[in-house]
Parts: sequence; C-alpha cells; structure tokens
Amino acid sequence: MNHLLWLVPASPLMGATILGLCGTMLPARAAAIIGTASVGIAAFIAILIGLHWYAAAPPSHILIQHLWTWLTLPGLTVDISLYLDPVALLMMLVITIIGTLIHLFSTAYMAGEAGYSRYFAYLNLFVAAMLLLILASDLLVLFVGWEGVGVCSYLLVGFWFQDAANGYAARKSFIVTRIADIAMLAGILLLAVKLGTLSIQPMLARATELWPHGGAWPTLAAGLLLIGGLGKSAQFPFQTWLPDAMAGPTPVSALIHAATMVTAGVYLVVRLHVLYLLAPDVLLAISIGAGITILLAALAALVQSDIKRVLAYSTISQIGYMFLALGVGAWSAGMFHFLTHAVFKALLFLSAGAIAMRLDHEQDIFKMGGLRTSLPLAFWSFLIGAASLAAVPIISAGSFSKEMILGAVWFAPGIGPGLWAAGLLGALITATYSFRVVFLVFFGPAHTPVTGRSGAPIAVPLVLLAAGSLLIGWLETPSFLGGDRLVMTLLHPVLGSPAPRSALAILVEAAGYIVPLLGIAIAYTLYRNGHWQRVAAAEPGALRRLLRTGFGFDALYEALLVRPFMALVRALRHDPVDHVVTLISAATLQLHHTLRRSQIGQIRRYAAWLMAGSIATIALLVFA
Amino acid sequence: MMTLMQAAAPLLVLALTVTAMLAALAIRRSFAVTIGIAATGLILATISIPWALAARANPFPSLFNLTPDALGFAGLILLAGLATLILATLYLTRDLPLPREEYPLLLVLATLGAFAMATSAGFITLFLGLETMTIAMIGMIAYPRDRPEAEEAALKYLVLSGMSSAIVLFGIGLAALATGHLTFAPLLAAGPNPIILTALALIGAGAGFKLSVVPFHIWVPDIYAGAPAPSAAYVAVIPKIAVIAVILHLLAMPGSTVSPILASAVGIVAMLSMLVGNLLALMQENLKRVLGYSSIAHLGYLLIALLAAGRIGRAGVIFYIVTYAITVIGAFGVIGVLSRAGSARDADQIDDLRGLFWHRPLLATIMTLILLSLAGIPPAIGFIAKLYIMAAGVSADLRVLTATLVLSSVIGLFYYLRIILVMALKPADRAEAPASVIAIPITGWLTMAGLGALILGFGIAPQSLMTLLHAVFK
Repeated sequence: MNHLLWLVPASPLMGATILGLCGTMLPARAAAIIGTASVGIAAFIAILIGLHWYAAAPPSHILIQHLWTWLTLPGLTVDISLYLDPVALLMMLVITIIGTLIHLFSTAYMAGEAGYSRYFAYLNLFVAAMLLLILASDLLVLFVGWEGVGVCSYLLVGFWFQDAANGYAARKSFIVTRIADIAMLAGILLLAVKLGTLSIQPMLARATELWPHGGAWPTLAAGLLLIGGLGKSAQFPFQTWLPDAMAGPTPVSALIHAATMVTAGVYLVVRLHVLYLLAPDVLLAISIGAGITILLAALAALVQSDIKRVLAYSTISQIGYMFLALGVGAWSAGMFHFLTHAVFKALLFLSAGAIAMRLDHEQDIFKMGGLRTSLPLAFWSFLIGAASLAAVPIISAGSFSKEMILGAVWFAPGIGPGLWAAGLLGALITATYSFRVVFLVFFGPAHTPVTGRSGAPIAVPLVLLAAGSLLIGWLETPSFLGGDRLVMTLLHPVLGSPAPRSALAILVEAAGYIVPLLGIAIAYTLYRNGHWQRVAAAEPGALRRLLRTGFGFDALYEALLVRPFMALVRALRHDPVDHVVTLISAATLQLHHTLRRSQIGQIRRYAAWLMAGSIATIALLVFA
Repeated sequence: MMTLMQAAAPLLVLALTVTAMLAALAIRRSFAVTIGIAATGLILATISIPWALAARANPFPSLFNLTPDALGFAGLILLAGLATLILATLYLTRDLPLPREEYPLLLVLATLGAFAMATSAGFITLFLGLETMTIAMIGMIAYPRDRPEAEEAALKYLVLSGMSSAIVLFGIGLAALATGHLTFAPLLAAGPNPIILTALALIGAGAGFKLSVVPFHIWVPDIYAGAPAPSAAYVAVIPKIAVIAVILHLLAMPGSTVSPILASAVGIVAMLSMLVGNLLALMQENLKRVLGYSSIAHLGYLLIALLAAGRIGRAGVIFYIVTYAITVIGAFGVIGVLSRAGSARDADQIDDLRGLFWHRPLLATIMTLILLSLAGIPPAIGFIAKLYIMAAGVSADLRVLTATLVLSSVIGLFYYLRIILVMALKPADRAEAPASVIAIPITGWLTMAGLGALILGFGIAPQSLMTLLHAVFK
C-alpha cells in the first residue's frame, strides 16, 4: 500500500490537469465527478496507508518514497521525494478527508455558477499543492507547494472576479503572503548556503551538529522561516489578509481555514522543530506573538456582523493557540488542536454556507434569526461546531485540545502563567463570540425568508463533520476520562512526549473547563434576544468601530506601508534609472527605424557590419 | 562491408534518402510520397545512430569524424529536422498555389549538409556541409515565393551568408597556407603567428554568423520574420547545433587550448549578445523577431558554458543546445500550426495570439511553457538549462559574465511574460482572429503536445535527459 503514496498528491493534480485543459468541453456533472473523485481517491489511499501504519508502522516511523532527482549541482542536490512521518500522516489524512467532503459540498453549493469546471480545477490544484507541501522531503520542493497554495488561494478568493472588490481581496491575500514569503525564501537560501543541503532530515541533523544552542545562525534562519509561516497562517502582524479572503465562495473558505492553507505555517514549524529548538529566542517570540494574536482576533470576532468574518477572526485566534503550543514546545498539543480545529472549522464554514444558500446568500447575522426550526440540520451542525470552537467541556472535540495546550502553557518556564492567562481570557471571549452568533442566527424572531432545499451533497458532509466534532477529541483524553493517548502515541516518535504534569494541574484544568461555560453564559445574557447587540450596532462607539476593523491594522498598514510605498513609486517614476530604460527603448526604436529605412541600403549596411565585425575580430586576435 | 560502414550508416541513409526523393520526384509528383520518403529516411537515420555508436572503426577517417559525440549531435540534428518536417507538412496545405514537393527535399538536403558539418574531420567536409546546408536553407526561406517578405529574406540571407562563406573560405585558405594541411589538428598545433590568428578570426567570424552572436547577428530578425515559420525554426536551430558540434570537437582535440585573448574575445561577444539580444527584443510586436532577438541572447548564454569548459561546462553546453532546440522549434511550431503557407502572412504578430487562452487553452498552455522555458523559469526545462550554465560560470569563476546573464535574463522576463499576458487577454473578436479559425490537424496537436511534454517533463525530471545525454556523449 505504501508504494502508492505518490498517488496522494498526484491524483488531485491529475484532476486539476484534466479539468484545466478540457474542462470547458465537459458537462458540469462530469466536472463535479472528476473533481470530487480525484480527491476522494487520494483520501482513500491516505486512509489505507494510515490503517497500514496503525497495523505495522514502518521502521523508525518514517516512510520515504524517492521519485526522482530534480537538480544535481556541485554543492546542492534536490530530490523529488515524498517523506511521510506521523505528523505528515496526520496532516495528509485531515487534508484529503476534509478536502473530499468540501468538494462534495461544493458540487451542490456551486451548482449553476459560471466557471464550474474552472472552480473544481483550482480546488483540486489547491489540495495537490498542499499535499506536496506536507509530503515534500526537501525544503525547496516544500516551497514549490507553498507557492502553489498561495497561487490557488489567489485564484479562488478572486473566483468571482467580475466584482472588483473580490479581485482586491485576492490581491491583498497574495501580496501580504508574498511579502512574508520573501523572508521565507531568504531563510531557505540561508540554510542552503550554510548547511549545504535542503533535504529536511539531513539538514536538521547537520544544524544540530554545526550550530550551538541559541546561536545567531539558527535564530536568523528560524526567524526568517517563521515570518513566512506567520504570513501564510495569518498571524500577527500578517493577520489582515484572512478576513478579506472571505470574498471567495464559502467552501473555499472552509478549505483555506480547515485544510489547505493557514495551517501550513504551523506545519512548517513542527516539521522544523529541531531547528526551532536551537533558537529559544524565536520560540519566545512565537509564544508572545501567539498570545497577542489570540486576544486581538478574538476581540475583533466579538463585534463582526458578517458570519464569515466572525469565523475568519476565530481561525486567526485558533491558529494562535496552535502557535502558542509550538512556542512552549508542546508540538503534539499543537498538532492535536490542528486536528480538532480542522474538523470543527470545516463544519462551521459549511454550515454557514448551507445557511447562506437557503437565505439567498445573506451573510449578515443581524438579518438572520430564528433559523433553529426552519433549518434544523444547519442549526445542529453549527451548534456542534460552535460548541467545539467554544471548547464546551467533555462533549466537544475542541475542549480536549485546547485544554491540552493551556495545560502545557501553564508549565512553560518564565512567562508561562502570563501566556496561560492570555489563553484563558481568549477562551472566554471565544465562547462568548461563538454563542453570540448561535443566539443571533438561530434564536429570536426571523428576518429573512428561507427558500429552496438542501440535498445529500450538503447533508452528508455536515453530518460526518458534526460527528467528528463531537467524537474526535476522544482520541486523546485527560487522565480522569480514561487517558487515551492515540494521537500522542502516533506522534511520539517524531515529537517526543509532553512533560508530565504536577498536582497543581487540576486547578488549571478546572479553570479551563469553567471558562467556556462562563463565556456562553455571558453570550446568553447579552444576546439571547439580540436586543443589546442591535442597539449598540445602530450607533457603534469608538471602541466597537476599532474592534470591527480588527484593531485598525488595515488603516495602520495603509498609512505606514502602502501610502509611503506608493509615494515612493510616484517619486521614483521620473528617476534617473528610469531614464536609462527610456533611453534604451528610444535607442532601440531609433535603431529599429534606421534598419527599416530602405531595402538595398539595408543589405549594404548589414554587409558592412559583417565586414567590420570580422576586421574587429582579426584586430583583437592579432594585435591585442 | 556491413561492419565497415556501420559508423557511417546514418550518413549513408540520409544521402540515399536524398537520391530516392529526387528519383521519386522525377517519376511522379506527389506530396504524400515525398513526405513519406523524407520522414522514413530521417527516422531510419535516427534509428541507425545507436547502431553506429557501437561501431569500432571509422570508414572515412580523413573526411568524417564519426565519434560518439559527433554522432550524438548528428542525432540531435536529425530529430530537430524531423520535428520541422512535421511542422512543414502541416504548414504546406493544398491551398498553396505552388508545387509543395521540393520543400521536404530541401529540408533533407539541408539536414544532410548539417550532418556532414557536425561530423566533419577537416575543412573540406566542413565547408561542403556548410554550403549544402546554407543553399538548401535559402530555398526553404524563399519557398512561398509570392510572399514579398519571404523573397526579400531569402535574398538577404543569400548575400550575407555568401559573404560569410567567403570569409570562412578565406580563413581556411590562410590556414592551409600556414600549415600545409586541410585538417583541424595542425591549425591547433601551430604557434600564434599572425596568419594562423587571422585564419582563426575569420573562421570564428563565420561561426559567429551561423550562431548569430553579436556583432554577426544583424541579419537574424529580418530573416526570421520573413521566412515561413517552419523554415525559420530550421534556420534558428539546426545550423547552430552543427556549429556547436564543430566547436566542441575542436575544443576536445588534443593540444587545443583557448588562449586568454581568445577567451576574452568570446567573453565580449557573449556579453554583447546577451545584452543586445534582450534589449532589442523589448519593443517588438512581431513574435518571430522576438524569437530572433531572443536566440541571439540565448547563444550568448551558451557561450558562457563554452568558455567555462571542463566537465560542467561541456555538459552545460550540450544540455543547453538540446533545450534551445526543443523550445525554439516549439515556439515557431505554435506560429506554424496557426498559419498556412497559402495565406498572405504568418500569424506572427504578438497580437495574433490575443485571447489564445480563451479559445485554445491547450495551445496557450504549451506556449506558456515554451515562454517560461525561454525565460528560464521553473518548472520548464529552460530553468534547468540556465541553472547549469550559471553553475558552470560560477565554477569557472566567470563572475562578470554570470552577473550579465542574471541581469539580462531579468530584462528578458519583460517581453516573454508580456506575451503570456496578451494570450490571457479577452479575445478582441472571434471572427477576426486568424488564430481562432484555423483548424489544427491531430498531428499538429500531437507534435505540439509532445514538445510541451518534453519541456515540462525534462523540466521537472532533468536527470532523465542528463542520463540520456551521458549515455551518448562520453
């Protein structure tokens, strides 16, 4: 089974190629089948490999499939090979399974849209690029997948390009992540120059061999790569692109948030965690940045009126939790939260999509209301997703993973308790804003009539993801609930086991369980019938306006970066360098016109030129 | 007898093909038959190359140099000739109000000349091959003779290549005068006296003309633009392979050294070619002219690897010329499948490609790969080829030249990417665009898809091409 690993990225890639080249000739139904089946095959193979792994893990828990050698240069060899370790296995399963469900959902969601086959071609390419990213054994190949993901998100966010605002959002996401990618590329080149290889495992081995703990080179390299990761994962200070990326179709948002894009940064750090262990300063920066991100994004989510923007800010904040875990070295806790988050965030987005489909694409939560009875499936799915996001104890998957992160953070030396407090406060706000949406959308009086009906392609993904959101947390439970250690056992060979907890942990755990309930209670008091919210929304105060714009980072960057850049561009428009280029083009045109002037003169001129060249060559060789 | 002729088999097959085509034409004019003989001959000659490689003895040591290297280049010439033959077959449709049968004859004849040149062991064969090739190519350029620009291009090529032949011949004469021989070795062994140096300069000028490097490049855009697309592809690729084969043969001969002054002369030529080629291409609206200028720049890149010499440099040169052949034939192929010899002009304006992504996505994708390859961007093969050249340049410490390569490649990006942009624009009007109405036969699609697959396939798995080249070129 393991030798079929190459098919996992290749199958969606083939789907994308077929749909891209002859999609316009295919009927919509065929496009939907090819698009969904290609990812479905990848998921099937991934599951088989996973089962095989569970039955008998390969030696030293690593599976390498060497495909071919891309480059051989003196001093650098780049292999195209796939590298599967437990972390990549977990990512691969999540991406392919959730990806398949999202494709299935899309077949109904995008029905009747122009560019149906184009949509599935992009979606397939998106999944293929992400799979290449996680399976690459070489940092350069990983970067190819990384950029592929970026291009696909650009194409999909701007899928409805007829509306200029969508094009703007797509460009914004592309440019912001591109700025971060430049730092990442610099980091990769630094590693290539200093360590002489980009093949991740030998590279990490050489790094530990050559570089001292806390040295300047590992700090610089890890820092540069981190900037790339923060950009792709929409973390502070690069978080501004993600809320705007909501311009794409809703299943695309589900894919970006749950499976294929924003988790890439988390994966990069986990994959290179050996390098990050050499750079404690960078780890400290990760955890502080994560603390800031969690609070900023959670507060912003509290006042959004667009359901997708609430979810977007919630993703930023939840990825913040993952980075918080990475910052304190709790790699497996971060990966576990990635797993639960992928399931419940996909569920939330698809539920939001299912609601929007029936409400004529209404996304304003204040124009919804009372949907509990008219859309029962969407209600229950969204409720389960929101419970998981809010980390309602025991019944939701999110609580298990968040609890694990907070427990690990508490025991981090130095600023651990401070970060823990930030995480706990974030959890309180998270519970409040997620149930604010639940109460506003599903309770109270109805505002928008419900039309149409939803078929099986909508229902199946929702039901499966809802079941996952309830149950997947039981893979890894705290000791008083049985102490299952399935995820830890899987990840142990690569990431090691977390530090044992001391007695005080009980109090910490209890706080983590009570806070979400407290948050829901606050939401209930404030938004049960939506009154307080509506009054405030009519005349938003200064604080609310600030929060709604996500702390005004867009305006800040506009003033600090975009405007000075544009001013610089304007100032340089007539600069001397430009004149040289203009001169060259003018000279080129002049030459062009001279040469065209007359037919006979031209040959004579050419012949003279040929003679002159020959004479110059003789002169150079004989007399020099 | 069989074993004696084994090494010369491809050459003999090619010569026999020319004879057979002449005989067939004398009996009855038929385009299909001529094409059939030409294709069969080229394929047979290509197939016999591996057999010839296994030969132990050279039947004509004084005339032909039938070493594996030379035969490798000859094989490349045959394959390139075959690709242009397919393009020409599609291009010369029935609506051309002229007999079509002589074109394949001229093509095979030119290929025979190029073959002889690439495998030449002395000046006699070199010059005969050069002239056979050149004169046949003039016919190919002028073939659609009711197009004034084709006739004009052929006339220019006739005059200028005649001149360059005279220069080469004068150089050969001086060499014979100084050494008393018409083979290569004595020239290389002779000391640096003025006559020898002048001879080298003159022969080098002739090589520069065929390679179209600055300052012998001036004819290129006019002839490429005026020639019909398949002929332009031929002129752009095959003579260059032949000349590179001769140069590599000379460099590999015992006792051949590149004097510092010669190296700096070549360096200046390379630098000028890279800059001038890319700068001149910037403002062009005609795709064939763009390709002409870009080929000047590409040969400039290639000269870097030639200067770097050594193992990496040699591998770099061979890899680059293969890449160049595939890519440039592909680029002219795109123009070719969208044009017909019977029409007044080829679809060679950049604007003719406007909206190609909308009505012919596959062809536009192939063209994009070709342009990425020319610009040296992954995942196309051109990236790898340029990378090898840069590695060769860096390892030989040719810093200024390598820096010029990087700088001029950046200039090149502008005009290559602009063409991709034009293809992605909304088509102006479906009825008006010739690129959208011409029917492309299945052979055309297969050829173009094959070239596209080579560009992409060797781009992501270049090791397979490297292994193949290593098996042939020792």
